[in-house]
Amino acid sequence: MTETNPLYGRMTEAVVAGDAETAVALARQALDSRLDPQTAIERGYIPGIRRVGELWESGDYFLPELISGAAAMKAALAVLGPALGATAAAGLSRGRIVIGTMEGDIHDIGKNLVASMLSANGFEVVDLGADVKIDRFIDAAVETRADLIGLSALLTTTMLGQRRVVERLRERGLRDRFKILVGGAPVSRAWASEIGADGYGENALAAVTQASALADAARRKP
Amino acid sequence: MTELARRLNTADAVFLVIGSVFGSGIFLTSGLIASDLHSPSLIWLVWLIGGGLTLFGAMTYAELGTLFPGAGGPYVYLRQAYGDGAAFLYGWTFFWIIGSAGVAALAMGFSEYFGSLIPSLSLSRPLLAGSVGPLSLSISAGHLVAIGSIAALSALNYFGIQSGARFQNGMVVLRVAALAAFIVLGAIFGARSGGDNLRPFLPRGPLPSLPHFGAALLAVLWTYDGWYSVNCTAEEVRDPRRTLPRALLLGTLAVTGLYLLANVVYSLALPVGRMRGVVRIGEQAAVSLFGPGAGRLFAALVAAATLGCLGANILFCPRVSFAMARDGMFFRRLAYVHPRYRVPTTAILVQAVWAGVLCLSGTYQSLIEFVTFVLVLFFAATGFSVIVLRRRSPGLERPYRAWGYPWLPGLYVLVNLVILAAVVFSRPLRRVRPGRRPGLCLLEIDGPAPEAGRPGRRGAMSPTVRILPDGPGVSAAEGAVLADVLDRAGAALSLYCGRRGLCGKCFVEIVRGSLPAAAEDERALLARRGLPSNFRLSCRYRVESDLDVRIPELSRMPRIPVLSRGVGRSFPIEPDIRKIRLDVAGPALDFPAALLDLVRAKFPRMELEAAPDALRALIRAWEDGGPGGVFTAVVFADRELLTAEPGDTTGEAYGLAVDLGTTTLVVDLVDLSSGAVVDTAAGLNPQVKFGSDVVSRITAAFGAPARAAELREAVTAGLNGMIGGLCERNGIPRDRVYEAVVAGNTAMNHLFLGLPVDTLAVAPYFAAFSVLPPVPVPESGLALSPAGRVVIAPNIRSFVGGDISAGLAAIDAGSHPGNFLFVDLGTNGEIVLKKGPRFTATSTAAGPAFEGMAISCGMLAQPGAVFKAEARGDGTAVETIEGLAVRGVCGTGLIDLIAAALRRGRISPRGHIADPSKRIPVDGSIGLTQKDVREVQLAAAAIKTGIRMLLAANGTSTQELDAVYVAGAFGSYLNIANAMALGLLPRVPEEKIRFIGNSSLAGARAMLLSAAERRRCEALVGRIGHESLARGADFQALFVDALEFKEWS
Repeated sequence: MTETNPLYGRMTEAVVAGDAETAVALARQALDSRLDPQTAIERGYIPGIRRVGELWESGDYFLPELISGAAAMKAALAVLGPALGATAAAGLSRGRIVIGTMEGDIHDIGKNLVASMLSANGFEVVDLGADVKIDRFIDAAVETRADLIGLSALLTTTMLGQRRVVERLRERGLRDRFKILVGGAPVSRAWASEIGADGYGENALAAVTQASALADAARRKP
Repeated sequence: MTELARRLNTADAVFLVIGSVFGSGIFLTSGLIASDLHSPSLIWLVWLIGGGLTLFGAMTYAELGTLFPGAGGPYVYLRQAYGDGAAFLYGWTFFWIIGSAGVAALAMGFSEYFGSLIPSLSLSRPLLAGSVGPLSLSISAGHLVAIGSIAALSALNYFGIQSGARFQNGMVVLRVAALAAFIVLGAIFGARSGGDNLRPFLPRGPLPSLPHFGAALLAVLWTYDGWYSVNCTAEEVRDPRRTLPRALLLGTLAVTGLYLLANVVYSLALPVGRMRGVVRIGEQAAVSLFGPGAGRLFAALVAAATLGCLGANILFCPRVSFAMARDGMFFRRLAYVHPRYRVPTTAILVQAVWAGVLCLSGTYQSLIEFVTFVLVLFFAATGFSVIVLRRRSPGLERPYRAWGYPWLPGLYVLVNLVILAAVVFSRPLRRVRPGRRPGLCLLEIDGPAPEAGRPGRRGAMSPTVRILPDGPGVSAAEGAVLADVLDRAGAALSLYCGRRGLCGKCFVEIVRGSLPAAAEDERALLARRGLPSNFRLSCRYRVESDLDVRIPELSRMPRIPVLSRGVGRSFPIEPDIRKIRLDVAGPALDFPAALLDLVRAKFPRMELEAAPDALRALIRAWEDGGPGGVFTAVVFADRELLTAEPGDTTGEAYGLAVDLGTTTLVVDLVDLSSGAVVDTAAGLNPQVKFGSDVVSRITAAFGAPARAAELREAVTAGLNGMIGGLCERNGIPRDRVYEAVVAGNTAMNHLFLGLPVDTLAVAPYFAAFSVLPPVPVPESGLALSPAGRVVIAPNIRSFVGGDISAGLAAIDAGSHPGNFLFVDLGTNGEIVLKKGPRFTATSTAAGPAFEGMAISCGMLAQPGAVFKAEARGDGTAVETIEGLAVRGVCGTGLIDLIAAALRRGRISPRGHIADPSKRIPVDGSIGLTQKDVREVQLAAAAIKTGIRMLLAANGTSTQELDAVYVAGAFGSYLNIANAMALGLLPRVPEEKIRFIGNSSLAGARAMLLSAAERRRCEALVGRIGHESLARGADFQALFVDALEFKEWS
């Protein structure tokens, strides 16, 4: 049996339009009409954020649309989240990621964008901000029992810090506990593999895809 | 039967030796061997050893020549020592290949240089093409020149050896005189620079390995080749027993001497680093010493040298086939001697015809290469025949006995055998590639290029990279990055991203040579630029073997025209540099106790410092000028005696205003007495090869002192080249230039001073200095008066540097009434706001979109760039710089195009291109992509956000602004309405917007001409506060909002 509630289509539209107000109103309406919050997320909102991603990739959407789409998604999730059962919440959560911009680097728009796309896509994001010291990343990941660490660098000089995080994790014997995702203007796939990172996101969308793949792989592991 | 006549005297014979050796090789070889040898002393040593070995060979041949003074030279000796078989082999090879192909190569070499002087007669002017049997022929105007020169010189030689010899002698005199003039002038000009280029004279570090040294020696030996010409014509030399040894000795000594001296001049002209891999080294040295005009003159000299060498070869080569024919080993008819002219006319004609055919077929090069090892074997065998003959016929009369027998002849044989081994075992025959286009072959030789019979021997050396269609060939280390190799060859490429393979601006076409598969991102870039699959990023490509490349115009680094000089403003001319005339009233009784007091007396408080050097100069000037004479003291800031000069030189005081830009360098030579700009030079900042933007320079130097030193050296060398040119053009000696004011951003002035930039790279981002005391010239590395001072325009903050403080000086910001905004639209957008008495500065990363990078069809403001566009009818009318065909779009054009598209609804305010093609066509294949529009959005938003945040932080708004100054390369071409439509500039009445162009340069000039202006600028800097955008809480929200194209509300 397929549920075809017209609300779902409107939810999708609200996210695509980046209309947080409508997205939230629809989420409340869904709760009021006792729709299953999990189904609402899966069939209403997630197709929306996916569509935003597609439009970004095709060049039709740019930063403002991406940001407002993610914001709408996040706002709706904030309404529906508490209504989810524990199992459903766990099932929906894609994983936990600690994210920040490297030490010496105060540019954080790119990182913020990745963070909001990740949370819009069901990740629990721990945002450490900009100019984050190497050990702070690791400590935070340990404290929050994160699955992934996301490292952003906007300068070729601060990019070197990404390598140091990987090395420091090895020194502390924690390398296998976390997947590492790197990104930023000067970062490339070659750099990611050179320093032994697990993934590289060329843009916010790619970061989400990469993070999902890494989180899934981590979860499949016993 | 008529015999040859003995008509050549000693002078003719000496000249023949010189004439057949001295071709273009001396002008083309030293740069190539500099790749293997890294100090002047080693280079000179190789040339000396080459000369020595040649001399030993010549003396060995002298014995043989006096023993058998007949025509044919080595052919005769081989026959006597080893019999008919060896002689037959040599003779046939000589006629078909060594001699004729050599003549062909020289003729084509001559045509090549001639064509570079007179393009309508060049080899690239095809006339017709076709094929005859296996030979494919193509005829160009240049071929006709080559064949014509062979015909003319053969004709000269046809009518008697004297006419040939007279031409030959004349050409030798011309060549030697020209080279001597080059040497003398070169030594004078070169010595002026103090011989800096000679250092380090002795090799530092490990000596080159034997194979490297050997390879260099081999290349040098070829340039000495040809001295046995006189042996071949021995039958026409008067009193050969005395003449031959003399001619060989004097000829080889003369050539060795000239070659060595020429190399001394090269070394004075260019540091070894800049010699490396340069084929046309003579030309390069001449340009470096005497300026660009010398290049053409030098090409003429090389053409003349090649023609002279051709004349000598046409004179002597037919004598070998003649001798063979006489012995019955070749077509009998070639033994014919003209009864009147007494020369082997048939042999001369036949050789001319065959050489002409080889010219047309283009196969002469392959032929020469093919027999290289045979040729060397013959050299060895001929040398050895001295020993064979002494053993076999000890009784023969030997009017001349070779020096140091048997050791020196033995050494000569041994060296040739070693060369033989090297040629055979290294890469034998690798160069045989039949069917190549003639003409091009000449430059393909990686030895002494258009020289006869001399290529190929460098088989043991590194791969050669040739730039089509007619660029120089350079040798490259295996595995070298192609971009570097091309850069050394003088073909600078657009390495915008600092060789990270990101920008896709340095693609070259690999015409011939290995073509490794392109990496994934490289393929994507190829697709984006719409380039064929044989293009590769030169910053990634590694040279493995010989290579032919073609460089698309867009990949080349553009030449920079002089941009606007910036605003002028009037102020009293009172420079820091002052010259004071002193009359020495001595020896009088009231003579002061100390010489310095004489100068001090000119200052009210008698305060004047002087370093020992200045005092020395003072004493010298006094000695030269007095007693009773006059001398001139040079004082800086009324505080310090810099130097002194004899006589009254008060009228000769010059200074430099320097705009030390990330992309371009501009230097104004200023007359400090009148304030007039005497001349201006502009050029690309040579650091561009490390990356186009500041961040990539900082990255290059970050934590890498050696690289930082390279960057420093690059920019100082660039500036010094410009300063040298300015001084020379205007006849102003460098030591009359006492001060330079250098305005550059923080990274540029740090790198210029050799300061680490690491603190600029990492938060909290700070500069090493703000206001810096004037730097003594020797510490700056600039080539002006060593006693002078270099003033660095002060830095305001980490990312707001001396370029901005100078810009503020240009508008006299310190005493500017009211409120104004100062915006420098560059890669790093710097913004200064004056609100009441308060100054606040900020910088914002606009990115290089407005400078052409990150835009698919973007380019700097160069000829062919769209700089203006407006919607007209259904389409868009564009204007390009200099009205050329559209090559790309520069910053102002980009703004106009987007504004036009916006007005027509082709782009939404959010930047979305409506058309499904996602493209805004401009002209032909040139158009803006969706990504290009996004880049402009980002750049404009960065500037807009910066301005907004500064206004907000100062509690003001655009309504309160009295003026908006727009500095930067945009100049007055920026369309104000369009810039406002995009939101790049705030909406204010148009008359409030003032374009001030290159305000850094204007400010530097103001500081140079007025001590008060300099002090005001330095004082102002302390008053400027700083606003850090990225730290601002709402930066992101404001920035994202500013991404929309719309006018300020």
